[in-house]
Amino acid sequence: MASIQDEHVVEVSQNPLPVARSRGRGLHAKMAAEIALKIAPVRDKKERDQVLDLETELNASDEDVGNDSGDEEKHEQLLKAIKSLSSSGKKKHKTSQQRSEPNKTVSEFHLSVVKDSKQQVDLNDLIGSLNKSNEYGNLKKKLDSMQRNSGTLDVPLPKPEAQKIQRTIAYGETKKDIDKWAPTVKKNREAEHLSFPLKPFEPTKPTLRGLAVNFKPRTPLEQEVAAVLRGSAHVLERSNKELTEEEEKALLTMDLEEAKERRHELQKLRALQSYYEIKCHRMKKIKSKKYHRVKRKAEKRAAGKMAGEDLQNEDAEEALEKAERMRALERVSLKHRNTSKWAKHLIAKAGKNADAKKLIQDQLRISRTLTEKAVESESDEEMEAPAHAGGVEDDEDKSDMYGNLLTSEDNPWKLHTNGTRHLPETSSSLENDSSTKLHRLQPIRTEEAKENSDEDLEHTAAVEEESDDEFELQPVSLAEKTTKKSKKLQGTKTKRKSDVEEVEVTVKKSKKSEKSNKTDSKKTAKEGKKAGKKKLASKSKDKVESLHVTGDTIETENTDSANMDISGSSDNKINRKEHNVEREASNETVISKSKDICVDPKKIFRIEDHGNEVQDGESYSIQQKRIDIQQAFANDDVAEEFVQEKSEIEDASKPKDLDLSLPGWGAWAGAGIKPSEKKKKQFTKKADPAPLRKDKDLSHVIINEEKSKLFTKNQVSSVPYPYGNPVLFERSMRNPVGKHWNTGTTVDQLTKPRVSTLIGTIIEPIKATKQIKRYKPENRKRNKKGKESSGITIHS
Amino acid sequence: MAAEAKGEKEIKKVKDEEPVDKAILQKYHRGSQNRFKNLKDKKLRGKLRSYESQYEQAAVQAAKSELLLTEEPGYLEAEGLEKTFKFKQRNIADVVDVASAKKYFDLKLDTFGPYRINYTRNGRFLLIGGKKGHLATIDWQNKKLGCEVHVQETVRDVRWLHIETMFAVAQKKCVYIYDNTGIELHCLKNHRQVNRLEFLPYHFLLASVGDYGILKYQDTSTGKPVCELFSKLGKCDCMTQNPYNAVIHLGHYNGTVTMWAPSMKDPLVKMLCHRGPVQAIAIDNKGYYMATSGLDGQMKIWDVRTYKQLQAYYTPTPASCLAISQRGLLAVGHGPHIQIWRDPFTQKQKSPYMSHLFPSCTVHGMQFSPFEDVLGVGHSQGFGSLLIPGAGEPNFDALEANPYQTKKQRQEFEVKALLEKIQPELITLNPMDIVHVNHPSKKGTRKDGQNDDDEESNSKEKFEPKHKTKGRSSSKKQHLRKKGHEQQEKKVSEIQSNCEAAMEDVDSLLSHPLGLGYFQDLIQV
Repeated sequence: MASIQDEHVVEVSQNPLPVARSRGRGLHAKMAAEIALKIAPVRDKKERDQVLDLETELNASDEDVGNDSGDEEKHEQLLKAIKSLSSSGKKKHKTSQQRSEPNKTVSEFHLSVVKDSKQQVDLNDLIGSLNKSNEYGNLKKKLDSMQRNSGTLDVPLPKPEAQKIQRTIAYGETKKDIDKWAPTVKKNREAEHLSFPLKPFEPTKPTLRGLAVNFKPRTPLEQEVAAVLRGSAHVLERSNKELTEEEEKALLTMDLEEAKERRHELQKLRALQSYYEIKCHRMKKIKSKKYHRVKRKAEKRAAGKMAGEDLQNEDAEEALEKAERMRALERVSLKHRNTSKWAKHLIAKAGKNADAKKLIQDQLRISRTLTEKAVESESDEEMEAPAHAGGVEDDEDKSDMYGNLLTSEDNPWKLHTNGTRHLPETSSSLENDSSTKLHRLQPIRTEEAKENSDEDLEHTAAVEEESDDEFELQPVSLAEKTTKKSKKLQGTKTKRKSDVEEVEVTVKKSKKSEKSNKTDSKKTAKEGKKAGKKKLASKSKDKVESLHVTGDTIETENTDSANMDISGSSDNKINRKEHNVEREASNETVISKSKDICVDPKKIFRIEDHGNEVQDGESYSIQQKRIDIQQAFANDDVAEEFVQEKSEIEDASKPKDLDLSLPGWGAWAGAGIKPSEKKKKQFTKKADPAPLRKDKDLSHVIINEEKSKLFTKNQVSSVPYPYGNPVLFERSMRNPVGKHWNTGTTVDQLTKPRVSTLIGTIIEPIKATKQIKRYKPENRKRNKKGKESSGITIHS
Repeated sequence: MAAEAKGEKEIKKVKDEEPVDKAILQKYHRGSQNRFKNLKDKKLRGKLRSYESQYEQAAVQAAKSELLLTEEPGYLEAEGLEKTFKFKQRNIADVVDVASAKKYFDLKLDTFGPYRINYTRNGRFLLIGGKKGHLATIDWQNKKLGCEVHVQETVRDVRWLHIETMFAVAQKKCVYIYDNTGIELHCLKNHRQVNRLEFLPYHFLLASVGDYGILKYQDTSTGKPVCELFSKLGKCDCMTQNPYNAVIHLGHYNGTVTMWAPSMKDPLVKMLCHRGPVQAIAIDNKGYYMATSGLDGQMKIWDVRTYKQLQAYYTPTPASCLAISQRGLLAVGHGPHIQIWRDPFTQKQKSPYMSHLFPSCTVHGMQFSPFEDVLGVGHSQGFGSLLIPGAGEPNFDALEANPYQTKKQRQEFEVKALLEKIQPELITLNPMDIVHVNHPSKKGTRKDGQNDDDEESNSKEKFEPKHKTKGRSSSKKQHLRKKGHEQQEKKVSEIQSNCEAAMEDVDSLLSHPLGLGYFQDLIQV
């Protein structure tokens, strides 16, 4: 449409031009320019300006029509311009617009031209006259405001875009609206349990004041009490007064002077008391020993005076008691027994210094006087002691009656019960100089002496040693034991020195036999492996037995050699050698069994062997019993069987090599043809090394490594979701929940449901709480350093 | 403002909570705490934190509740030259209060031979069974006879079941269950020639072992036999349960002690304890220590957790009975003697704590009465009840075993116990294993595990016929298709097995000494 119109217009403009030239060139030119303007009203500004320039020129040329030459040039220019317009108009599609602006210059063709802003019609142009008149105030105001607010409105956006914007804004709004719920929701989600209603109804607590105000006496008793109280002057029922009537009265009656005096008196008393306290405190803190000594002596003197007077007339008993107490104290503390540092120092000097000697003796004398009464009482004890000892014997007789358990010497539990235990102490106490100790220990010794000769002392020591053996823990190594023994035996010098030589000889012999045994056993081990397990078992059995016997002898020697330790250090070497032999022996047994077992379960029974030490004299019979028992089980190859079973189980549990070689593959196969070793080796898949067994260090234990399928089914098969690793999960499950393992409150706490509702209450919809924003921990730290603030801010 | 409020809160807290003794608190901590501070997952971190605080609180509560344990244990103490083991029962009975003195008594029952005894878990009732068939239940504290029966058969062992209304008796051929009036309720015929009985109260399992050396478990709540485990070590007459983990310990003639759980065919642990036959086993209440005695004249103390020997004592004659009290006193019976040892596990004791003698008797059964300072002894001439100060736990847990139970409480307890019954397969050496995740830790084991899983899943995967349209997926058609599939599977498996058999045949042919050619000839013929 637009293009057609354009063409038409151009035609119009082209056709009349020659006509215009003939009539009046100037007028026509102006018209043409106007038309052109009308045709392309919203062209590019440049073009428009061009056209306008032309127009102005034309306007100017209207006045002087006479200039023909200039006119022609201008005319040509105009034509050019119109041509260019038409050519460009063809390219660009334009819509014609009706101009509606008011213009001063109204043309013939109802066309207006806006030259500049000054020429535009203004509101003032229309109503300027109003300003001059004083009337129409309202109208003027209105117009004023209109003028001020007059602005052109923007072009409204296309619908979808507008809607989009609307939506985003609405989204933001609703988000803001809903965001206020976020903290509430978060809190509720994080809460371990929620109990609805969230804010339970709480009845207002009755206050004391409220109760007092509302109280009305009802029962007769209450009424009576109320009546009494109301009349009393002691009751404070008056408002705005601190004192009761009675108190006020008392105040009034009191004389001011009197009160002051009384107060003064009290003040003085208090001051005196505090002075005394301070003094005592100071005295107590004095560190000077001398001061205290002097003070104590003074006190004692005063007390002695008092006591001297008192003793005669009344408190003899009390004094006695006191003396007794002093004696006890003295005995406990050993204060005057020259055990103090000072005394020791003096004793060192005493050889030369007579004074020092005297001082020491003084001390001893004091102690003797203090413990003097003790001698009497001890003599009493002496008198009683035999009787008591007799009692003990009686007891023993009784115990004999029930099975010789307590007295029979073969009962190791009993060994220390009937006084033998005291013997070593007596021997040690012999060295002690103090007469009192000897005195006290005598009764026991005499009692014992009746039964035993002097030799018995040694014997009993031996018995004790032996009993120690029995009670000792087994893992104790031999070396330790021997040293222990030697230590014990150092006190009791024995007659056995004569035996030493013999022992040495036997040791050497046994060593030789051991060596031969060793080689033999190695051989047997090798053979045994080839021959088969049964054979091995039988052989090893024999060998073990033989070793057993030798072991026994060695051990007996060991103890003897321990005795020899006293005589000289050269024996130590023998000792060591013996240990080596021992070790070797045990090693051999191990090797012959299987390589993996490092400890011989026979070790468990070694203790019995220690018991085999043959003692001379009576103890032999005791030992014999035990030996009998052991011999009864000597043929039971329990341990060997066990070891064999264990090794079998271990072998079975080991992963086996997989032979994948195919006979006949790449080689001939058949009767009489052995598949090549090389191929076999090549195609055997080696098994992984066996995992370490739990019982590898426990030779006497077989632990089943198999996992119970039924049990594992009940275990959690994989770590559940939030827990990353099993340790976290296991540890979080470590606490039992049931009431058998927890207190009642804990069970309730641990098994509380996440949500609980109170029956019969209205659960109101939740309300959004105020947003509580926490600072990040870094900020908090900074805050702590800087100023003390809570780190919580409330945004309303 | 907020800071002030916080301060106030703290002060309140301090005021409210009394400090708990750390040593006591340590007792109630169960394992090490979770470390969660470096976790990235905030949610998990919060969760773990709350758990930790809960567990801590639980420990604190438990420690605080020790306040309620008002009774204190005590032991017999000797002065001067006196020895505790020289005190006679008579002397003790004279000194103690009347109620306690009544607990020292003897029942002279010399006609029906050596007696086995058993106390209920709350220590209130006593069951005695004479070898020659005499059975009796007694409310021993009130000296009230419950029932008395003569079964006209050998009685080898007696055992209370979960409550005092039922008990099991191992008789000549089988095990019988009687009620508290002496009426025979059940006869367990599959338990043959039983020598010893044990009852696992939390699992409701009655375990028996006898001449055939077969350990049999019977569920007493459902009545079904659970399993039979073959010890393969011959006659067995020594059985104890570990009260901590419900593992049964058997002592055998070859000096070994085996530990059994119903879920495993083989013993969990086999220990060589003695050179001679094992005579008696006793295990302490916490499951730490085991005492064994053998015919080799030794009594040994073992740590059951590490299986290591702690002490070895020599007995003049082999100890025939062992019993450990709730507070860790060890009673040893040999011949007519009974000796009580105090703290024998951790320290080597030199002399017994107490001793007693039943003249011209032999001790056959011994048990400390729970929650009482009493040792019950069944011997060849009846029953003796001895006062052993410091034997029983002075504070009882009424949820666990209530000595002052009423009838109603007993009924409720029974129901609760049944509800809380633990399945037999959960018995293991370490009961806390159930907490652990069964994660395959090592390569080899994992492979095996995977294979197992695959196989299981394959075998378990059910064949679901495809859904077809146009009425071809009716239930009948589906069923037919399923059947067809099964048959096909069968065929395949048959073929496979045939193939394997053939392969084996071929192998055998190949390995035949005459060679393959021999058979080819045969085939041609």
